[in-house]
Amino acid sequence: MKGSLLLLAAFGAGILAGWGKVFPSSLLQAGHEMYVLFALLTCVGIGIGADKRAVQSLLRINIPGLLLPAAVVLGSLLGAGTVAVLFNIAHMREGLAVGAGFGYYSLSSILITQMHGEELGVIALLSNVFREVITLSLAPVMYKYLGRLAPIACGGATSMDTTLPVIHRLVGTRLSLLAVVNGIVLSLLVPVLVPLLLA
Amino acid sequence: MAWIIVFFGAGIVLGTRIGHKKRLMHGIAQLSEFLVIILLFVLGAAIGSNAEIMNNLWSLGWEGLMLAVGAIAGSLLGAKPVERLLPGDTYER
Repeated sequence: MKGSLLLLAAFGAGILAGWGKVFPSSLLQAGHEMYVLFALLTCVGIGIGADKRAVQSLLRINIPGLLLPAAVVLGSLLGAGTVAVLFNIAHMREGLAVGAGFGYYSLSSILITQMHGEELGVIALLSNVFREVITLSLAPVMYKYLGRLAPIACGGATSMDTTLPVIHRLVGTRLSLLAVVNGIVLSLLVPVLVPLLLA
Repeated sequence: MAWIIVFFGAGIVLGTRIGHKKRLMHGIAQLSEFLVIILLFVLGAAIGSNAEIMNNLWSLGWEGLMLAVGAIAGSLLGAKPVERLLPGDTYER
């Protein structure tokens, strides 16, 4: 939670800096961010590869364990894509790309900004922050009325870290393992699906 | 954009090799957080200096919320049938 606030504060400080023209616009147009993005993706990859828990749970993964993340992928993409077209917000594939953030707002918004532009990047950032906030605040209601898997499905990629404490309190230890697998699989898919959808 | 996937995949392979080096991994985790902060700051700065986006920030937020609700509703619908397909012991507390 503290980490999330720090990231949002950095984003907010950026907005103020840009709005107040503190930031030389030539720096913004130079496009060096792509290299920073490559460095970041390498670091994120190293973090996942080095995480024994992540690697072991992926190696031990079975068909039932994959069913939930598969359902969340399909549901998130189709849900966001349908809303995008139905309410005339964006093209189908733009909606799909925002949905493919699965709540991983930092990486998905950065990727979408680099590949498609700032406007969709902001929508992706806000949309995926909302997904995390909605999970944190509504998980108990979802658990009660929509089933035991609902908080995990809603959490998406965040079900392995930021929303895991809330999920764990509701579903217990056994299902929390599924929540971790769900989060790992979805986090792995963000840097793969977003570029593919926007290519 | 294949580069994005290449760098990410190379990172994962590298991570399985150097994962036991605790101090190095700590450094990489900190670097990773620093890079995200930089990129989100730059994204913010690009948005802040873009009058068209700044004037539409509320409607972009509204659109983001609707897409989030769509993605969540789709996920919940998708997860419902999975609930009955999982083995019973999954639900032991």
